[in-house]
Amino acid sequence: MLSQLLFAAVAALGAGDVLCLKDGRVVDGVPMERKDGGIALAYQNGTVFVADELIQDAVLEADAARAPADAAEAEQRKNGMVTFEGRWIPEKKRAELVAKRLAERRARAEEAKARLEWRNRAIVETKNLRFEHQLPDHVFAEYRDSLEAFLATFSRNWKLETPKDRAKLPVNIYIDRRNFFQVAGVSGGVLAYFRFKKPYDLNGYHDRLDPDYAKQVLYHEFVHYLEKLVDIDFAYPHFPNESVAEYYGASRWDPVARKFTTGLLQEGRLWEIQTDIAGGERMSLERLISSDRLYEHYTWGWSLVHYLMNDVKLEPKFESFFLALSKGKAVRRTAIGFDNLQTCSADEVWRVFRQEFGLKDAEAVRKFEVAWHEYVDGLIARNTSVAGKEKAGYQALETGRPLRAKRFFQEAIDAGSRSPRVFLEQAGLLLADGKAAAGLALIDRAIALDPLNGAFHGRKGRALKATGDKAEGERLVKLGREIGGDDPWIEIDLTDGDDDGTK
Amino acid sequence: MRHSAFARRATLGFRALAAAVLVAASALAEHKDARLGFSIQTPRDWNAIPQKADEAWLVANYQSNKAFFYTEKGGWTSEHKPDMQAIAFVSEQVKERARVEKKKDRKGNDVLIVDFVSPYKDYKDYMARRYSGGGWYVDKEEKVKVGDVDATAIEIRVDKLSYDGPKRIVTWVYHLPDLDLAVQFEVLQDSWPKVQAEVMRCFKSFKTMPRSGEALVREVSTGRRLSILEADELTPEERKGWRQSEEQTFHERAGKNLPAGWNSKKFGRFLVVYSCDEKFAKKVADQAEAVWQWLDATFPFVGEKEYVRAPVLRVCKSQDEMQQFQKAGDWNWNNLEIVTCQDYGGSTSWYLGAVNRGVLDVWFGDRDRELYWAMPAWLSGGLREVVAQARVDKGRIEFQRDDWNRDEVRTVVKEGRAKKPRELMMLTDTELMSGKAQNYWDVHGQSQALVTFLATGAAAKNARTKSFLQDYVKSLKAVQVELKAKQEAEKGEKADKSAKPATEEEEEKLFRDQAQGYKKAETDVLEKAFRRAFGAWTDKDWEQFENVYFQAIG
Repeated sequence: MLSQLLFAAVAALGAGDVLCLKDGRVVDGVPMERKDGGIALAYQNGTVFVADELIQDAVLEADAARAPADAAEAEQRKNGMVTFEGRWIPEKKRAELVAKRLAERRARAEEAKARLEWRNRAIVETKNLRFEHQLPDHVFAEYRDSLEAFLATFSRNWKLETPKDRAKLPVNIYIDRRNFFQVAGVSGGVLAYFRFKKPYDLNGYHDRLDPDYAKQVLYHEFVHYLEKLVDIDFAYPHFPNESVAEYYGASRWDPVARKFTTGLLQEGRLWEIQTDIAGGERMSLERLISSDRLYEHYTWGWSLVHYLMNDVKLEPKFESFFLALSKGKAVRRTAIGFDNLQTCSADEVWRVFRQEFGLKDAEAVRKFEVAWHEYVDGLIARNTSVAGKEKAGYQALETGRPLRAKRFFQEAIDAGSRSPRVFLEQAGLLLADGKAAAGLALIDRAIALDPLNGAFHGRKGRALKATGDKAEGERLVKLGREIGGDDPWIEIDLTDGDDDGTK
Repeated sequence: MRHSAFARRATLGFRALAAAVLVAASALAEHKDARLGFSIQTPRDWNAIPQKADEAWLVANYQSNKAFFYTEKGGWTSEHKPDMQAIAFVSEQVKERARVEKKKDRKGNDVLIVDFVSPYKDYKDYMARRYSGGGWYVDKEEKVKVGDVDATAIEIRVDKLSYDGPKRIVTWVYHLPDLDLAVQFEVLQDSWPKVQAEVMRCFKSFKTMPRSGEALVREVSTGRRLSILEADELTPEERKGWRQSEEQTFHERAGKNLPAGWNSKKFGRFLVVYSCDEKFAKKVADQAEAVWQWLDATFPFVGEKEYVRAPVLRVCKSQDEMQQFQKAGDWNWNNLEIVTCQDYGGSTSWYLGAVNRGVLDVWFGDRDRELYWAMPAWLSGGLREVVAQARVDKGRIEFQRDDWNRDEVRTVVKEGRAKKPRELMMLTDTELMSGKAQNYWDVHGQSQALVTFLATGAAAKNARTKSFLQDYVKSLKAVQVELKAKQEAEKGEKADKSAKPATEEEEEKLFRDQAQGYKKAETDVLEKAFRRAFGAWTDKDWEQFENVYFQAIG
């Protein structure tokens, strides 16, 4: 009788527990139970605990049938009174209030889940932008506010205005990479893109494991649109286009102070530069600026822009150079062939650069280059943030330097990294060294940070199988497949001793 | 002539009846599949496209004869022909997504082979992993029924970065015992209203029929116990046997179950599968044979003992048909087909040139793949362009002059960007790919000019230089063999010394040595091959050679 009314009200909503995570995911179809500090999900192949700090909201059927907390409450219940938000009210009234609240929360959860299909995306217009997105509202808010703030900051810094007759830029944000590839029509290494041919269109995705980086990538692409405020008929050549985009990509929005800060460190790019230096290569100024479509425009090019924009004397010259490419009278431009667009050749960019910076001969170019390289060396030495250490680890791992990777990952962990990927990569390195206990402990930490990532359970399972605990290992691999995830390797179970648990 | 009112009405009635018959008849063509046990009407006048020889999951492929158009606002106009495909997803295979085999290689080492028998879970998985016509999403999905058969009707919109304009994909997935069959139509979004009625009629015409009893799963690798990479481990004699068997199997498969409008015929060593006119099919075969014989005569020393598998030549009657054919199937190492089309381009046809390149790839791939992959950019690029210009004239091979290349290279010479042959021959791939786009195309054009000069131009007729190309290729091979032997010897030493770095300093040193070493290795190979081939040439010899060369190309 105690909560039959409430239970009936909840049951009438539509059976099943539902969990909404702060990173935007919605989980249902799995029995859930509240525990101290979080919620336990009972999958067929095992129970997974999700800590409160990861949970945005949870609507459980069992919430309706809570036992009395103490004797006083038990006494009140005999009189038909129950506690609700610190006061005693009739049970029927509480049932109605709770049912209403549960219905609202369930509707929000259903809406969040429905948005996983692009046809149900949310459409939101702000002052200058038209968003179409799949994100839960609390995740979307930061994208919305930061992009408008970015536009205001860039316009202020470069003294630009958005023409009143300019249509709002469509900004499409997808819930994950898979959706981005599918709906935005790209693949491979593309992280986001701006369609620079009309109709303009900006597309990117939310990476729940690295939301800061996901925003930085979107800021990078947004710069290509902001350049249209400089001159809508000019397509900036690869340098300085991509280098400037990387410069502004390293920005951060503070939702509390409502402040947008630009020109921060691109830690990952710095480590790519360090890798080049370690391999015996330093980029020459001439090659950087006079080459078409060089990958190093994203790395060394970014560092050059960072150098110029952080020097009181050089910053105005760089701004003058940037604006001269599109507006300078003596600059040679050529038509691209659509949308009335023009551009410059890389040779012309190099000529204008030398002119703007007064580099009259090879010696002047050499001195300029030396100063820039020294600046880069200084940046590398300063690249000691947690994010910097994490990215140093990834870079070292990708370039076949596991000892270096291990050191940086450990430094990142010791400095407070909360990236599950870092824990997982370090676990892999330790397992490869035969340090099973240490490796498994780190996988557990990755799981604690992202318990509903099937790939992590799968990795632990394969590691256990490789170290002799076959039964438990198989259970975890099955659990991983049951939970699902972003990792296609959980679909393949490499067993019978072929897998050393490092992948 | 006057007619009675009755006669006029009767005539009109007859005409109306005839028109109705014609309209009804436009949906009466039928596709039947006894193996999977179904039939479905297809729009008449849509061409049936044959399947690839090793096709596993696409069971029907049709394309409309009629094109529709889309014009982008302020932009270009694209053409698109609607198409229909049927894809089967066999449920027992869905459970066994990968079959993992453990085998032993010839040295007795364990080798793990992962064979994706059924790579796609279901239709949406298939779309997610295969569709490349633009960004897409499911706009509508509902359960439907056709007779006793349950189906899911899915409408997909293709919007962002869509090729040829925004499109609509309409698919009904029929749920049969042990099998899901997806029948998919792809049309331009704007033209959907014009074809909708006919498409829906086709969907609703679906019927099941008794199955023939043939296995639902067509084994992708029938008779193919090895991949071409594994076949490298065999002796030349064993490899010859394997290749001959491969060739026969592939030819048999390619020539089977051809839809109406397609034929197959053996022309010499080639099986030609064609929907174009037979005269053109023979022309393609004759040309491929001429290129083959030229390669035999020009590079006889390359992989002398190796048997070269004759590819299937598939000649579609149009570019549209060819593109529709190529939409299906997955790439695999063992593919033995060159696909082209009748583009009526005459002697300058790009597609005939592509056949020649295909023959070049197959010939060198089977004679000596390692050597082919090791060729520097000037040689591999130049050879491909020169071979593309080959045509058969009165039974003899002739290499046409490429006017476009001639003009392009003249401009490069005039503007002072031309490289001497010696410089061109020493350019590494890393150097070529790390600079300006214009540099790349300059080099590509000059490579064609140089190889043309050597293979078919003045240099080919001069006693001193007529074997220039062959001498270089022989030298390159000799250097490759030496390098491989050295690496094998070092591998053994390194294994003993346990070369893994113990400290970060050692690791950084190794990294630097490898980074620099790779570049040095590239340069070393080119320098050694060059010296071995032309060590006896003096500077004066080179000046003379280059003068004649620049005269020929300038």
